[in-house]
Amino acid sequence: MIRRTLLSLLALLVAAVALGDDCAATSPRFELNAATQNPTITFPKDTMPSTIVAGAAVKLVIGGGTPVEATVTDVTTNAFIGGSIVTLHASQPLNGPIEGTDASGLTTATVTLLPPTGNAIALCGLTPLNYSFHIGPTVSADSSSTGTGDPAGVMRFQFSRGLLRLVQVSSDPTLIPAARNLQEELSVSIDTTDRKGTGTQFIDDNRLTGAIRSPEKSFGIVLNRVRVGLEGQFARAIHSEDRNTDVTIVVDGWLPFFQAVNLLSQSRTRTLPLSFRLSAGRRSQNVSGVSSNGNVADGVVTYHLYLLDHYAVDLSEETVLNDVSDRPASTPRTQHSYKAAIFYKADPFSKFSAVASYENGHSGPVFTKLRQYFVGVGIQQLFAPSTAKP
Amino acid sequence: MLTFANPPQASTATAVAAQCSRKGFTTIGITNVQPADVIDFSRFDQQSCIDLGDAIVLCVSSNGFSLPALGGTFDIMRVQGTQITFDNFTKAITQMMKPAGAQ
Repeated sequence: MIRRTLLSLLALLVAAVALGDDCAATSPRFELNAATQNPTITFPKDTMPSTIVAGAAVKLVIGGGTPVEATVTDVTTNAFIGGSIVTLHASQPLNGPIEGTDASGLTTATVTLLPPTGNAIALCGLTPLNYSFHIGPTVSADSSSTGTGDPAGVMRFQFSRGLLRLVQVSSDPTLIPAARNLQEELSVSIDTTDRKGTGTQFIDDNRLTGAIRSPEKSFGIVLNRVRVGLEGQFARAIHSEDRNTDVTIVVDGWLPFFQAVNLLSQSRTRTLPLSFRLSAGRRSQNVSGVSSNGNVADGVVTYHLYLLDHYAVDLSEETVLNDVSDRPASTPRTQHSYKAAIFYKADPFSKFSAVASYENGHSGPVFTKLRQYFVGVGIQQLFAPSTAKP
Repeated sequence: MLTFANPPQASTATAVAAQCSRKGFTTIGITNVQPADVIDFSRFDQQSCIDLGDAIVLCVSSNGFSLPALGGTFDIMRVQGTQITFDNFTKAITQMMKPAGAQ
């Protein structure tokens, strides 16, 4: 139970600091141009309304606020993916209400485009704007959501509010926005009920999360886009004394010295080099009346390599240190886990598809299986006709 | 601010596109990219797509051209699992570049 709670909290903490969910390939993207700060919308092929032409008047709604009037100043045919890239000139700075700095993009606030005619279009924001967002509060009485054992139902309260703030610490115009701005995040989330229900799916999940992250910084081919962050989360149940506090320092980035290698390949495929994420901190918790605290640390490295012109291999290793007192006997102080995933593409420019994945807490079985697999792949390649296109 | 008496030439645009594309990839840690190299966007993360686009746009702008924001395009290519040679990448950048002030 305690281990499950720890894993859930860790997953939620990771989720809280993630940059945002993936948007579908068919969703238009919203961002600010790094050079001009003009709002820009990338419409994938066949998604742009015909009414969006140069000179058209549109409106942007950010976070459900008052619509901001904007004019289409440029429509560029997208030479990469088809569709169009639309540049707007807004009647007021989109990033101005809180800081007035020239940060770019957004993830947390929803953005909607109101074209000259027709329905509103939801846009997928890319990087943070200085904007507070909120969902709720909502109140509902739903007996089904609290289990079948409570026919009378309970009142459920949900409230979430967050603030994301970018603070410009460098005005060097040659730096990308991510290297100019420090990022601050604060969010409050309450999800509970007016009384403790008798059902098995009782909800009482309340959190206060804060983080501050440095701008990205690169050091030649040694370290690339390194960020240092301080993250903290306090979670507490209202209907019991259960609580959990985590304070963690996080460092992440890439190591360009370790470029993706190509083995037994005629072509050379390139992608991001080896990446790392290190975190270390302190955890204090009280679960079911049992208090415990101690140091926690986590390290992850991820690497990609390419084989035989048709295969990609993703490798990752994670080491977790859990020195919290009263941890379950089945949870060791230090854990290592390894993962390898293999992907195949039929020709040099087609998409990779997953074909196999191995995950284990010990390196031996993983690489033994991988070696066996690639012997098989190698033999198959020797006798298979080439599908590569010129 | 830089001003230009004459609009930049197309040949200059090609050179700027190649130079700025290479600089963009170096910004996200991919060094020494050659024209025939295939760039695999499927292994990128979203922030790398944004950083790549921002770096190219800033570089192109400082060389007398303009370019729309590209983070969204690269993010869609990431989700689609796009693979593209560096040579074709720079050709696409060249096609989308305009002399500064032409918008």
